[in-house]
Amino acid sequence: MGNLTRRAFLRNSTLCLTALGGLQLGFNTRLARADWQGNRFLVFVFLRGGMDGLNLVMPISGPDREPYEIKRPTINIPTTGDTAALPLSGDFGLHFAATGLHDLYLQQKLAVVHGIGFPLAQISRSHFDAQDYVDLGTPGELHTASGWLARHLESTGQVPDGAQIPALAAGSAPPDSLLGRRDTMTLDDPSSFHPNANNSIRVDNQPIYKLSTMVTLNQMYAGSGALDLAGTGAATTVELVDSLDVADYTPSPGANYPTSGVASSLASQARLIANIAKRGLGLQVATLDYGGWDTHENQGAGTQPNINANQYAARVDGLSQVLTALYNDLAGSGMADRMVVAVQSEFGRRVRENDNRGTDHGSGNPMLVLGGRVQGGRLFGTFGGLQDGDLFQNEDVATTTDTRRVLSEIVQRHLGNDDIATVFPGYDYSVGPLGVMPGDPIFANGFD
Amino acid sequence: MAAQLHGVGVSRRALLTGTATARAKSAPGLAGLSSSAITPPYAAYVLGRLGFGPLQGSQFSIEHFQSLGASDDARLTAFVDEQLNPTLDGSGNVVDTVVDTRLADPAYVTLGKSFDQLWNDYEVNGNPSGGPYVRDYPAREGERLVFVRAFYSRWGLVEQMADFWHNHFNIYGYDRYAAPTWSSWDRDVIRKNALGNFRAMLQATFESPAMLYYLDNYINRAPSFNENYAREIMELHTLGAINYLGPELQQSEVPLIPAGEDGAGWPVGYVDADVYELARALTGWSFGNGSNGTTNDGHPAFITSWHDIGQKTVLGAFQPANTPPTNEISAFLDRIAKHPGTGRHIALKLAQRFIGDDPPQEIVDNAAHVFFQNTEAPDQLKQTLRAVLLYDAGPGSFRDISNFGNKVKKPFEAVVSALRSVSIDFTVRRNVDSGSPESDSFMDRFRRSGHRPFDWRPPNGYPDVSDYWMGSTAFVHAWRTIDWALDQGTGTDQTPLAPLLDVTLNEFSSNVNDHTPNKLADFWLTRCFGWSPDPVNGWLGTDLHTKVRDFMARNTDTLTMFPPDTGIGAGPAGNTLGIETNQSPNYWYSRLRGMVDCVVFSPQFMLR
Repeated sequence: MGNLTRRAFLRNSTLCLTALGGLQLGFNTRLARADWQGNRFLVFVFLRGGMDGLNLVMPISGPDREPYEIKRPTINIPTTGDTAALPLSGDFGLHFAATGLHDLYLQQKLAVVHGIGFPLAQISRSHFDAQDYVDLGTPGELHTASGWLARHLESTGQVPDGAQIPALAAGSAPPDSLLGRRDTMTLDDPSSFHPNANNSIRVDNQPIYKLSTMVTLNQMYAGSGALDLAGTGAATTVELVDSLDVADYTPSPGANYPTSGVASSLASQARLIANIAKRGLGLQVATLDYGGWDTHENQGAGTQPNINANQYAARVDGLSQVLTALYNDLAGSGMADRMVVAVQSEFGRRVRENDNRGTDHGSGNPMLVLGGRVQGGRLFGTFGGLQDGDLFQNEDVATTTDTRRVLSEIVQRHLGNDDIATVFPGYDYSVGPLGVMPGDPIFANGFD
Repeated sequence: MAAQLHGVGVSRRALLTGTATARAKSAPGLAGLSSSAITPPYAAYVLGRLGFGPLQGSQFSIEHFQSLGASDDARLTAFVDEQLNPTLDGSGNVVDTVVDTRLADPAYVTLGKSFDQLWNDYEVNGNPSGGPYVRDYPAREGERLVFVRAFYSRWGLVEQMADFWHNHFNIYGYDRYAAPTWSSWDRDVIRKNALGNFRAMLQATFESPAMLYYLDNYINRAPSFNENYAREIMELHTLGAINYLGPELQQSEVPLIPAGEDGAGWPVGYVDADVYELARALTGWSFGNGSNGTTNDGHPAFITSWHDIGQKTVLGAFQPANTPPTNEISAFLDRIAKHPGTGRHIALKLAQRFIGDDPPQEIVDNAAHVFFQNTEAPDQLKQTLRAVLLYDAGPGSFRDISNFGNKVKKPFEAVVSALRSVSIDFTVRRNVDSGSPESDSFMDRFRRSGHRPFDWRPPNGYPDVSDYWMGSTAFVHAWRTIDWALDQGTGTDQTPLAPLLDVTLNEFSSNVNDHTPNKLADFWLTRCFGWSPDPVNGWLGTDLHTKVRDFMARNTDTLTMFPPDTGIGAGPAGNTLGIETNQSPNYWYSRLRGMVDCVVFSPQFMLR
């Protein structure tokens, strides 16, 4: 090796299958639409476990306030005191722990859509069926061979042909929304992300056989089967993490990702998304999973301000801190307009709390949409009401807006993909957008 | 929709983006997951499916399989029957001398304790003031012992079934009451019943404080109720979501199973009302924890004042008001456990585990019928599993070797099969008094693969389909764990955990003239797989051999190659350092370990 640096050595190597600049996960068969200049991307945040949306966005005045308090005697969020709801618009407020999200709402970067879910015939109170419906984007059908984000990537014309990382699943495994997409980067953490774990002989601060192992992995996985592609993807991811120095990242000032608490993993994953998004690698979709919302018991008293004694508030606090940091991170680099973050769960929970100060599985729920171009500071959709005659099956917040309607709007107006029929097969989008995103694309030209 | 997504040709690019073609579920046989795979001998296929791959010199080896009969069919039947009937001790625990010897390590202190002892030692006295925090010792032993069993067990099928049921009745290992009682959960609930009677197993889970806590039944009380446990009993433990008819139908609207079919006259599936009725029946069923008038012993406890005494109907089984609660819950669990939908659900999951993500329907139907016919039999699950493995429904049945390659090893399977194949000497255990720091290092590395044992928080267990495990995080961290283990030493003299050099010198050759890259690659491919494609040439001449050989021969500059047929260290001048040396410029010993890495990182090895 002598004094040859590892980088030079990579460049000079005749055995290296891909020159540094040519490493990429994305392979696209369509050309980008000629008018597309946006480099826009979507972050899809899945709150797994059935997030109790009625305690995230709740009535603070008006005719539904009294039934809210009556049906939730211990867990309702009060309108005064330490744990007072944070006012949004009209009769609604936000959970007291969501201070960062509240600020973003006031800055008109965050919108809330009431009562999202699937059509009545496709409502399921099974976590796992309902999660599959969301991930696959085909409510009522569990055997769809691809996820909705995979179909977006397949049908959009907006991924540049040279995209190195068009899709990023931040975490230990890709969600089913990306099912079937073999060019997703799945990455939990860029540190020590290579298979040469403990080789004490180092060259240029890397295990001596790391490069050679990569060469052999690429050779062994050169076939055309799904496993071959997955193995190649893993090897390419290792090389990209290394060659791009992904582990070396400093967020924008003001992007305060929490480093402890229930959302610390979510925070490092969101930070990774910002990191990748800012590098101009063609990122189009990224996913985050944030579980722990199945609050059948001791969800957290509405008057308990200490998040260490309030499991639901702790989770909301974590979510709010992470999304706020992610937004500020992109905004600090002048890229907030490129990002939309959509946040949803598989279903909401019962309106009435149970005897264990928790809530059981329900249906209708809010969706949060965050981003520089989002028509924020507004509530969209229809809140079905909390009086007895208003509830779905006398139990749940009614579903009034199909989840796919909001996602279609984001796919079309933000990501520039008109092919909704492929993204959500069987869904009739003739109903059109709610207006969460602006109608006329404003291209973020020149932000690079 | 599929056609629409499909029409992108057959180029590599198209395959990369082809959403419809790429799903493992729809990929038939070999061509689906790796185009370079070689069909292994029948014995290797079976050993990879029923357990964690061959273990040289054991009863779970290719040689042993081959000794069991005159044809593949005969050998398969004999081997399955042998595996389904493991040696038991007087308490009904499986005897496995090699594993038992390792688990006699003094770092394991909870395994021999009864439930009552565990409760006393780790729940009641788990966190004494001023004393050591011992509460999670059972869970910590449990997540490590599962590696020891998988590395060394001769009863591979028992280990696969323990893993199957741990995921089927998933609880989080470090949960409040799981952690102190884990050794009993693993031994008395899961393993004792793994090949036994399903109703008995369901009862054992229902009587476990770990389960009653995990799914919130310990606080389920009238007049309201907590539906969590009732829903997951129906959706995950018994009938499964495949028999859930949704929230719209009422019980009276559910069609009945026609005459002449299994379960005739019972509702075909369940609706939300069945969940709510079962939840009402479960009100008051808790466990002794010292509150609400119960004794702090972890035993099942019924809190009368919490119970809803009204009449109830579950899956067509009616219980009038004021039925004695034990009779009531028994009647409902009987109906649910014996419903043919439960048999279909269990049979489907078993077939997916052992045959493929999309198994032949005839196999599932047959096994479901066996399950139904044997609901009272003490070996109901053994018979059901036997039907899944041995019933011949033609192509696609377990006995059809074209199934090889339709499954990818999950990280646990990848790591365990790799380390088994190199004869690792590693009793993973609690790091007591710094006696096994490498155990902690191993667990820390493996955790990042996303497959840490008993660490799946939702109640549905780790996914069993290949797609989930084909992300780069799972691969890279499984490989990283293996690489670490091949490099790691233990004790003051840092004896290697994986005896790669000893195996090379003792089993292959100590003659340096034999230590050519070509021969070393051939030896280690054969050693790790337990077979070779050709009786004369071994792996020589295969693409995989060439690639592995090239790793061994490739000089550190990656530009030049060591001659592939020259013995390493065999001279002349400039070639005097042998494979046991580890110094510049060739670092041969490190390179040998890296070459074995490549063997077990290969797509051929990652397939089952």
